[in-house]
Amino acid sequence: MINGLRELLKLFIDDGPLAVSLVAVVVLAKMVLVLMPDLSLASGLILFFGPMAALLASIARAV
Amino acid sequence: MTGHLALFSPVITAPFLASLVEAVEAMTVVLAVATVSGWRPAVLGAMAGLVIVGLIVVVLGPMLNHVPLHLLQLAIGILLLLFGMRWLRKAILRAAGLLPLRDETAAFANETAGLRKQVRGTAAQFPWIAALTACKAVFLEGMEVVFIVIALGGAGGMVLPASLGAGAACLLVAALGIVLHRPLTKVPENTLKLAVGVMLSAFGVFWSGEGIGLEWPGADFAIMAFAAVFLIFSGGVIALARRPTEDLLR
Repeated sequence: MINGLRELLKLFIDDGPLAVSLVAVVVLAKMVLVLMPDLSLASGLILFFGPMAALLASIARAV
Repeated sequence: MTGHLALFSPVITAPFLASLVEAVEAMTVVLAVATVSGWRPAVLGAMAGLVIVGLIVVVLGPMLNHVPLHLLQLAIGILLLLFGMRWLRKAILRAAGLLPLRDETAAFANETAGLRKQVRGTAAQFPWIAALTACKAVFLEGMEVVFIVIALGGAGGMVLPASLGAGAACLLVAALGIVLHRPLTKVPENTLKLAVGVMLSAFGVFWSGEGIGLEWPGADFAIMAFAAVFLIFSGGVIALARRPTEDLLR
């Protein structure tokens, strides 16, 4: 049962730091949107480029 | 309406391609079970796995209707980002030669050898271990398919087309597996994984944004643009990661 749950979790999380970074990007984008509602573009850019930066960092760690 | 149509094609294509990959992996295990212990435990185990997945969908599916839309979009967006980026990372590392490509023949041989060891010496009338192995494989891969269908179809109200795409892929792989009686080694799994990773990540960015209250320019068409950029980015990262480390340090 625990093994099954662990394998289900592994469907979403392979590289822990990558998963944390992705969640942090979404949280940051939301914070920017709440604090600076007129600058929604900045929030969008964070959400768009943030995951790519996180992925690049994860790949760099693996190389 | 046109925005909705923009979603239609990727909402069918992404679950179809993703399900091809998942179904091929599940089929390899089911075929290994059939080789070691016969078709009866393989088919019964696979059916049991499908029934469990179906029960989870039937029980949990209606609960999604009670979740506020923005919260659902945000949760699905984050999960799609995690799921898509995980696939993209693995596909990039494999394409760059940093991880070995998945080899269905080797996976089949490993699974068969492992099962032979496990069932040896068991005198039960019905090979429960073999059936459970098939059940577990179908359940886990099935849950991935269900997640992709719900994630891609649920937030945009397009569960039916997403299910059709996924169902078609599963039926296709099952039919080929039954006819050929051997693992499907010709499926370009890593290319599919990269394509699906790109699409899931694009959907993930889109739904996360909608979930936090962003309005993307071009509405649903933004997904296409995100996917295009993710694809170009992935190609660039693969090319970079392929270069020998000395070149990068020079």
